[in-house]
Amino acid sequence: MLKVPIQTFLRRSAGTILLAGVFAYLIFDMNPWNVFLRALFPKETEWIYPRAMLIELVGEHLLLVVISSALAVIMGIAAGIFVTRRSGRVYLQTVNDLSSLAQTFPPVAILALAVPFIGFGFKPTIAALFLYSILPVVRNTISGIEAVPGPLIEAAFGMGMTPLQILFKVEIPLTMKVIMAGIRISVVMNIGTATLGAIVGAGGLGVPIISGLVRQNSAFVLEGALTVCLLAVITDRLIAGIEESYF
Amino acid sequence: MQRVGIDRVTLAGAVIGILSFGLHFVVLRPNRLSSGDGLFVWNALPSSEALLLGLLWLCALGTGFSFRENRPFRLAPGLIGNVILVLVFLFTAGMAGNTVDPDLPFLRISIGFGGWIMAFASYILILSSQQKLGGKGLLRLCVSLSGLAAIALLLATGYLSDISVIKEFSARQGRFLSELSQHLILAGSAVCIATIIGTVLGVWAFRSRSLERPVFFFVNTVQTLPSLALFGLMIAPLALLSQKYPVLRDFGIQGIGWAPALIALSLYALLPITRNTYTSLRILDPDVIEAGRGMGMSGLQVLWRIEIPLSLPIMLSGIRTALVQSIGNTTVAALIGAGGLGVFVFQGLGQAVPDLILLGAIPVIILSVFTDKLMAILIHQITPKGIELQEEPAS
Amino acid sequence: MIQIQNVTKKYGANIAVNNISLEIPAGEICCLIGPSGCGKSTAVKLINRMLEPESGEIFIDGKDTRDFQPELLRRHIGYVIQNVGLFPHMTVAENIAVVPQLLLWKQEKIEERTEELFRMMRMKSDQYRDKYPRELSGGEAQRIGVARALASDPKILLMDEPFGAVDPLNREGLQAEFMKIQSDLKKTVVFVTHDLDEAIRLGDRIALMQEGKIVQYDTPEEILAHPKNRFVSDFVGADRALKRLSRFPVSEFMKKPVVVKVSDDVDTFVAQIRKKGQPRFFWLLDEDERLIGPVDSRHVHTPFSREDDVMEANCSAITVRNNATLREVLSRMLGQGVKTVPVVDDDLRLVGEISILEIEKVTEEAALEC
Repeated sequence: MLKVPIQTFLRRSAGTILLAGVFAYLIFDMNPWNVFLRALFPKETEWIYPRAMLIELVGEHLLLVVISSALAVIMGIAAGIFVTRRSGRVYLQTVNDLSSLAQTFPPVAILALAVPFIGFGFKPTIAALFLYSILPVVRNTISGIEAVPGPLIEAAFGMGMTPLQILFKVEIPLTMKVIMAGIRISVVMNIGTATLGAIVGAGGLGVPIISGLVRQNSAFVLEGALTVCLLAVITDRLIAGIEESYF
Repeated sequence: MQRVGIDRVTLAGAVIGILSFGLHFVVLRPNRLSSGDGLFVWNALPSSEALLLGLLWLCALGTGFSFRENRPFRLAPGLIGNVILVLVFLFTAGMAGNTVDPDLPFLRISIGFGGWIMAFASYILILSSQQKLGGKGLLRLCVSLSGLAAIALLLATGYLSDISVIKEFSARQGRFLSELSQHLILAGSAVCIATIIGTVLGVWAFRSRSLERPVFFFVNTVQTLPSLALFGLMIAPLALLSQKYPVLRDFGIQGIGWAPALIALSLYALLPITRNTYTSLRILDPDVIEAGRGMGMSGLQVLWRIEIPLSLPIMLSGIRTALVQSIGNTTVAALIGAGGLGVFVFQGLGQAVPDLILLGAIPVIILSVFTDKLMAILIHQITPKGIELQEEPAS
Repeated sequence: MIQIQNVTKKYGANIAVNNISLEIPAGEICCLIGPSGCGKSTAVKLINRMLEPESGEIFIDGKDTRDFQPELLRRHIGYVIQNVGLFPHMTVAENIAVVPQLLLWKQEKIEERTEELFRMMRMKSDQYRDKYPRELSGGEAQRIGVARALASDPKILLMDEPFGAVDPLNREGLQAEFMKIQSDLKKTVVFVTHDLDEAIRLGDRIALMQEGKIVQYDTPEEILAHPKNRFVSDFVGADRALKRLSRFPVSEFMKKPVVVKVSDDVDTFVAQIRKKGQPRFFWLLDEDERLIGPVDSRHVHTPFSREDDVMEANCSAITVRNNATLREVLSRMLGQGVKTVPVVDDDLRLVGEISILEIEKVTEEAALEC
């Protein structure tokens, strides 16, 4: 399945791993931030967001993303597999229609709408993030499985594989690349939307950005924005590296 | 389905619809700020209306169980779905007339979670009919849109004005319209700028191997950045610039406001347009162009009769994606003072007024969906017959 | 052996296979042939229960196929399809190992079997085993497809237009190789094809189908010589007499040639022939008994001159190999305008000659209707 061994993956993702290392360092050690932000904004009085450490904010953000994405990936792949099985095929078009419609909804709207119904804070944000990030996973799972050529399935069937064996030995290995792409989009989008979670009280890296906007302190904004951008880019590249190593 | 069969999709919709009776149909708030109480269908509505809803759902359930392959049965779920959809809104609005309470002059009535789920379920019924009707006939169009058209009509004629979100709207109509136009102007301009720049980038990337990787690396990376962060990153440089060159302030260009928002929005819109320009150039089969030249077409004719008709659908598809994305991203731009419908969303979130959130969020959703469908129809019209435009998986 | 008894398969109102009965003896190749839509592919899929019939039974070696779990049945039947269906994400070796792994064979046994199969297909194992299907040519992929079907050493092979997607040149080669493998393995093969020539060449028996029914089930000679009805004779084609010729190997009909070596005393030889009055043509060979060309005894100079008296024509144009059929012989005769064709072996040594008389004898023996 993993066409290329671990070593090649590490070699190809060297740049990203380096960046991740830099990132890890920067969220622990605030000195570079101090120097950098002070130089940029000499007129400010405070440069580092005081109410929470950067590492805490990153932790909150990651928690939001990891939980909602994990749920979305598991349920998304399961749903995608279900509607491409004989028993679930009836629902395929409906799921396709619904998901392409839902994908046109802006994620911020979904997040905002979760509040009146579920409330403020961590849980509604996870719910909204989950609802939105399941869509690319489902769509890519479906299109990937549908793209497996018919003769392959027929050959596997004729050779005596059970439908379950066909799913695991043929369909899924051939679809992994597309599914990974869907996961990548889903997770990166999640990181972005989770930034807005700060507005509904979920914490995360949006907090210093919002605080900076409110207090007109560009240093805070930069602290949050740079960190979350780095996080997004690193995650995107890492998952893309995994994607490449699939057939 | 041969003779009498089970229509699973309709059944699923009917089951969800019936289950929604167990959730709050409407929410009553004594005033716009407090959280209010939810009421179930049988508590909220007069018995005749509640019975009607129940009956309709039972009909839907019945249709799901005994499906036949003829026209009436294919239309039935859609018809029922449209009717239920309109009734949800109508009955909710009707409640205001029924529960006028002198002690609660500021009573707010809004559709509850159960009501929304019921609307969602009715949409599944509509989808079910849509699938079975197939093609693009007039009948299918009716099934898809009649419910929404009816609701729009009711909205326009004021029948729904007692639903709280509409009250919110009437209270600040002027503001709403100005933010709406601001939203549209921002999103539209961003897509225009991105089209100009993105097309150029796409052509460059196609023409030159060495440019291809950096161009796509750039636009891909920009796409992964969280929108709030990108907006934030634009503030500092623009603030510095406007401090250095105060003349910019006169144009409204400063750290916050529309300027950083427009730049960020344009950057986001670059990827779909660049990528689609590149692809549309890629798929132009050189054999087809050579055939055209061989037949004696001039360069301009080749452009007009071959290249443009073949690449236009793909370009428009990119613009469609860019538009939908921009409408969403512009909502966030309100946070940096750029205006737009996001203003209501964030005000509502900040002041804990749910109806304000709805006032911002629902039009944004309607705008996105509407733009998407409109562009889809446009693309379908201008796609030359005989070409298949595939929906690419997200990548 | 395979026994199909009164099997019917319907798709709604459409009867794809209409009450057919067929008995395929063990070790034989049965070619299913017919126009598209006649039900031949459907019939094959009924044997390994990829499709279930509405009525009828199928027995393999006396056992009803319904007594087995379908997946288990299929793992013991080899199945090759036109598009090969090699799994692109697995190497060649992994592809071959699929069914043995499903049957829970030990790894060493699988390795052994894989090596054996490579030898059978005459492909170098270390060259091919770690390649991916997309790195193979069409012909190579097809051979691996057959190897994969043979992996579990099944007694029965079902092949649905396996050589259909290969170009004609490679196809002939694959057919010849397949026949050689079959002569060693003696599998019971059901071979679906739309190519009549392929069926005639490969089949021990041919079942011609039309609209779900078997119209004629006979040896190729019988079908060509005695088509049962208009449909069969039309399908076989007006040139079935020619097609029949491809069933007759040259080696059975050739005669001993009259030869003289270039190192011998050609003049004396010519004088002897002139005295006898016949034959008109004899063959000149070189020292290694390789054919140089024909000599016309009526127009030979004395002394014999190699440049003037021998039609040193392009040998491959006038000869046939000793593994050819009468069909190629006739083709040479028509192409070169000659009545006698020399037969050579792989080293181009003359082993026989065959004339139009031998062909006439063969065609006379069958009563041919126009």
